Amino acid sequence: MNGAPRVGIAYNGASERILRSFGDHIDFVEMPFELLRHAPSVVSELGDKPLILHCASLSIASTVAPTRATLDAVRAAIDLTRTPWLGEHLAFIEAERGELPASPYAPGEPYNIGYTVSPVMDAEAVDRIVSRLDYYQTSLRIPILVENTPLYFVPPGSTMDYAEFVHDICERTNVGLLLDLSHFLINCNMAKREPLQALRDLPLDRVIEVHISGASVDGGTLWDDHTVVAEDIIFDMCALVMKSAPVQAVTLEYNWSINFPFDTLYAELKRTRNVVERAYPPLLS
Amino acid sequence: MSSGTAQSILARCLVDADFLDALTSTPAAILADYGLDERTRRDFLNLDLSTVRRLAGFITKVQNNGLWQYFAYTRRLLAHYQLDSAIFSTYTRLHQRQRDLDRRAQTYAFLTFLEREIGNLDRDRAPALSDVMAHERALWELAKLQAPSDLLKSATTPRNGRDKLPGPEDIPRCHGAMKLFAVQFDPLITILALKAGTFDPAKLVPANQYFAYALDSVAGQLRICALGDLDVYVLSFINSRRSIRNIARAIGRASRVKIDVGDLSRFLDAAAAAGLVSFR
Repeated sequence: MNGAPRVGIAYNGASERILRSFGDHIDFVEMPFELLRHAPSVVSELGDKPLILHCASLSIASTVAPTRATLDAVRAAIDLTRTPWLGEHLAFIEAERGELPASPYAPGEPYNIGYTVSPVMDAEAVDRIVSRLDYYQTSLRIPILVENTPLYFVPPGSTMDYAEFVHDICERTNVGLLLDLSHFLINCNMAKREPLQALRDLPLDRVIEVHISGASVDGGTLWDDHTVVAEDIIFDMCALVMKSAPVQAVTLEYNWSINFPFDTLYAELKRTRNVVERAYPPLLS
Repeated sequence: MSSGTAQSILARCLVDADFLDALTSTPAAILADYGLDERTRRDFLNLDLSTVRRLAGFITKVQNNGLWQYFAYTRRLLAHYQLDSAIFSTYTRLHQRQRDLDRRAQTYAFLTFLEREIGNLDRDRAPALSDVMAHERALWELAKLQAPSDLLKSATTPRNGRDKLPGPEDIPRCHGAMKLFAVQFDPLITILALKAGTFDPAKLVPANQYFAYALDSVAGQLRICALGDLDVYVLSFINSRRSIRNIARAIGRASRVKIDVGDLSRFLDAAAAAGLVSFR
């Protein structure tokens, strides 16, 4: 993908109908690897719409490596989708039980959260993540973008803040970044930092893809929420990122509910394109 | 101490509710088993474990996102009444034991849990929530409809092909699959208000009636009828064997009120028009 950033949507069960309704306004569909693994035929629902592969199975910050079968399946999904890059979370999903006190939970297996959780941010974690990313990029032969996970609390044992953590990883690898603006807003809310200011601390020159979705407050905490539209601040953040980042794709992640209103999604696509076009005005013919 | 150990503790907190309870009650004792360095140990002791518990609930909620498809307005009301976080945090323990169940079994398990939790709320804590949940559950159990807006409320229809009133010897039976439950507030009115963004619990008008959901799988129709106490009472005497005359007698014996067979025939004719009963 070259030129101005493309604008697309994250896949859900309504995507086929969405594409039939206003597919001309959607440049790509971001496809979850975990769905493709079990139902590769969903690709055929989307016609010839370009796909970007998004993964939450490599657990790159975990001490537990994914199985060979998982790695092979990711490789197959890369081939199937012809994705330009692989988006993966800077997170852990599994953790060793090792010599921990006994638990009745699935004895013998690692703890499987089934969800991406922000890792401990220290030098050892950076070493582990760098090693994993180097291996995956070599093994999978595709650029990898790492996505920031929301920080609802600072993981115990962390010796770095998030910006420092990401800078260290970027300095030692050539990975790109998938900047999830809602996740970053959650981080800023937790750390009580102004988001537009905090964004400038990140290595924005590595941001290739941006995620946009909503967040909602519950019990005084801001939580990730892909069923509500993004607040204005998210679009301000997106505009700021576009000024200095080589963004190639912006993905609307309103994918948790198949009942998300089509007219709302259409309006959000237009809103996003307005931000993109202000940053990348169309060339005069 | 490796960062892996800290992540192991966090992971266990998120999937093992008993462990999180123990860590909350006796953190120093629990952490003593892990060989943590002083910094990490102190960080854990200072960690707000209620946030970790709410994260576990949030993860449970996201892992039940499939509920959005059939229970969209139940979820909206849970969020409206700020019950989301508490409900899913409480559900985490059960959810973790059921992650390998198929989607349908997981949904049944969650509905059973949610009914119990709603039943334990103070009466005025979440008006209309149990009604909307019962409504969406009836739809889910009866039909593969994706949104309540796809429904038909009861309307005048042909009498299942009949052109005259049923006679005293005709035998009514329930037509197709049916769900019947009492509602305090009309769930369809609530849902319309939620869709329009005008829902206000203070403006709810009690309905105090029964809703019957009748699925005619042959015609491919789902009908919803609002019924009063007496309607439900009369319909409860249908057993697919009693004629209209015998139903009148049975009601008369039970209630000690004489029931006119002609009146009953007209009532059951209307019930047939509403898709609730049929006649051989």
